[in-house]
This record gives sequence, structure tokens and C-alpha cells, in this order.
Amino acid sequence: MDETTKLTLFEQTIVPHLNAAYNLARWLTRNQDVADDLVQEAYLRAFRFFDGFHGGDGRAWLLAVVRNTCLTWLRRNKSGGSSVEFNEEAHALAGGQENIEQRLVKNAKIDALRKCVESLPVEYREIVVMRELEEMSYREISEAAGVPIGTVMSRLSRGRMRLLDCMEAK
Amino acid sequence: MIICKSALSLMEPYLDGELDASQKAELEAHLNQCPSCPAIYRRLSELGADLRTLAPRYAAPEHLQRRVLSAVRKEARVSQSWRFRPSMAWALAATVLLAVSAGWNVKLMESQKNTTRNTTETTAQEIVSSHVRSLIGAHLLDVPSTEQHTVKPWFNGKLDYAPDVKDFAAAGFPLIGGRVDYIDHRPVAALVYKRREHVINLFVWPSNSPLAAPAAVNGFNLVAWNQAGMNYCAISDLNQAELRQFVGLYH
Repeated sequence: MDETTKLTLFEQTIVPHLNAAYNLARWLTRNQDVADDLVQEAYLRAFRFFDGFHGGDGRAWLLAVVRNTCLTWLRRNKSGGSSVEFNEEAHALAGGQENIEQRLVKNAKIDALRKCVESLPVEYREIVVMRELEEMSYREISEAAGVPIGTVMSRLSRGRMRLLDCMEAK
Repeated sequence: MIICKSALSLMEPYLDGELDASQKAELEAHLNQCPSCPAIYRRLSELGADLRTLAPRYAAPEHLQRRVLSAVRKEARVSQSWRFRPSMAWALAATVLLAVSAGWNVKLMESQKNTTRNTTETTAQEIVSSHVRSLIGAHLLDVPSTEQHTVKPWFNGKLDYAPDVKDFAAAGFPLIGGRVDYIDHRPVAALVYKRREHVINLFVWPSNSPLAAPAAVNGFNLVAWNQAGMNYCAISDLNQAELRQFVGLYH
């Protein structure tokens, strides 16, 4: 494959999944600026290894690279990545029809959900994000996370149990 | 009849859309008669709905797309200059010439044999490319409107047929507008819908030969059908089940 074809193909199959890549990196690192840098790094690595992509699911393939890049960063920065920032999107006012009280209740719930997901161990968190926010199938998650489908199911289930407990405690 | 323990292990795959019809039926039957399982099912189902509708989906900031694209393009140039050293250029040219002349006859025969299949594949590929272009460029909508009575007449004079424009906002698939795109050597109508954060492009053009599109290409799901002399193809990064639900509404 010559470089121009490779670049065109890469821009068609991998670049469109930028939002999914960023969402995963953001949830894994819990830090906006770090997620920015890691996504760029992951894209460069993905491009270098693109000859190893044999068609199929571009998103799962890209997320495998993003995940590895983030996990490497997390291992190197054991203490970092736990800062809890104010999240403007989650606090943004949703819809004009809701009254103030409904809005407060909803915002409190959004905040609780975000904190509970962020407090999950990273191996549960990544799978919950891929399933619930990226709406990936078990097979796609298994491909992206490099674990068997049975492991995807058990981690998802444990993650959910922890989330239920966490939400109950809020 | 299954016991609670099996029901518990089926609940999550059920909510995740991973069960086959018989397992679904087993679980539903159990939930209808069990005094304790429905409460657990409700909690899990609510948690899933809360996560999908309330937990933030972080969208990549605009500057990141520019940064990523320029970094990758730079990387492509770097590896290109490495690959094409002047000393290699002649050898490469000679090899290419040989390969081309040897492969030409075979290619010619193959291409005649595969004309029909290739047309379908090319059309599906064009649909994928068009969908991708609509997402990464600014050109998603020519007529941004949630009003089907605005979108339909907009196509008058731009196309030689009138696409059927429907809105499914009530079912959670709001129409957000339309545009004219170019597929299979002709201008076609692209109707644009949303499902949460997912964009659905529905391409509509007159044809009597149904498009046999693959169910998934490059991580995008496709559903194609032919109805009353029109070809329809819906494409999105939405999961296959909900995309089929959307298509079911359109039928």
C-alpha cells in the first residue's frame, strides 16, 4: 500500500472515530489535557501500525490502540489522573421546560453518575464506557480490550454492581 | 421454566441486546411470574438508561481533530520520504511496470466477471464515504429543519423524483434535515436523522435493482431495502438493533 492510499484509507476508516477515542481516553485518564495528548499519540501509533489493520471494525481497532496508550500512561503516573474537575457539560442546563428543582435533581444525578463511574477500577471502567456510552457489542469490546467475551461479561457485571452500590450511597 | 439464578445471569445480556429469541422468551416468562427478580431487573435497566442518557459523552474538542489530522499527514510525508529514496525509484518503477503488464490480462477478465458485484460494492463504499464526509466536514445539511413539510419541498427542482420524508421524533429518531449528495453517478436525497448523539444518513434514490449492501463496513452499520421502485440505504454508527428499529418505522 503506498502512503497516499494508506493515508486516504486511514482518514476514511479511523479518523471518523475520533469522538469515541476521545471519550474513552477522557474516562480512562479523567483529565482533559492528558486525553488530548494521548489521543494524538494513539492516532500516530495507529497510523504506523495501520498495515496491520485488515478491514473490519475500525472503531474497535482504534480503541484497542487508545486503550493501550492510556493504560501505559496510567501505569507511569500512578498518582496522577485522579483530579476531579468541574465538568461544564454535565452542569450545563438541560432544556428550558424543566423547572429549577427538576434541574437540580437531574444535575445532582449526573454528578453522582460521573463520580461513580470515575471511581470504578480502570478495568471495569473501560468496559462500562465501551458498552454504555459507545454502545459496543460484547464481541467489539472483547476485540478492543483484548480479553475473551466471558471476561467482558463478568467485568461488566461487577462494574454494574459497584455502580448500583455507589449510586445508592449517594 | 428457568430458576432465578439463570434469570440473573441472563438479565444483563438481555439489556445489552446479546440474547437470542429463545433466551429472551425464557427470561421474559420468568420475569412475568417471579416475585423477586423484576425488582433487580428494574434497577439494572434504570442504571443502563441513566448511564446512556445522563453520563457525559465527551466529544473531541475541535482543535484536536485539526491536530490529529496534521500530525498524521506529517507522519505520512515523513515515512514517504523514507520509503522513496532516489536510488530505489528506478528499481521500483521497473517492478511496477512488470507487475502491471503481467496482471493486466487477468485483471481485465476479472473485471468483466465482477461488474455487477462491483457496482453494488462501489455503491456501498460510496455511501460509506458520503456518510463519513458528512460527519467530518461541515456539509451535513443543506436544509436544516426538523419539519418534514419543509424538507420535502426543498428537494423539488434539485432531484427528478420526490423522496418520502418522514419524521420519527416521537420514537426518538428526530429528523434534523436533508441534503443532496452524489452516489452511483447521480444526485440522490440524503435525509438526516439523529438518535441521541448518533447521526443516521438515509439515502433515497429511484432504482429497480435492490442494493445488496453488507451489514457493516468500517464500523458503520448499514441497512438497505427497496420499496416502491426506490432504493433506501440507512447508515450510522448506531448499533444494528436500533438502526433496524429505525428502518422498521420507515417501512
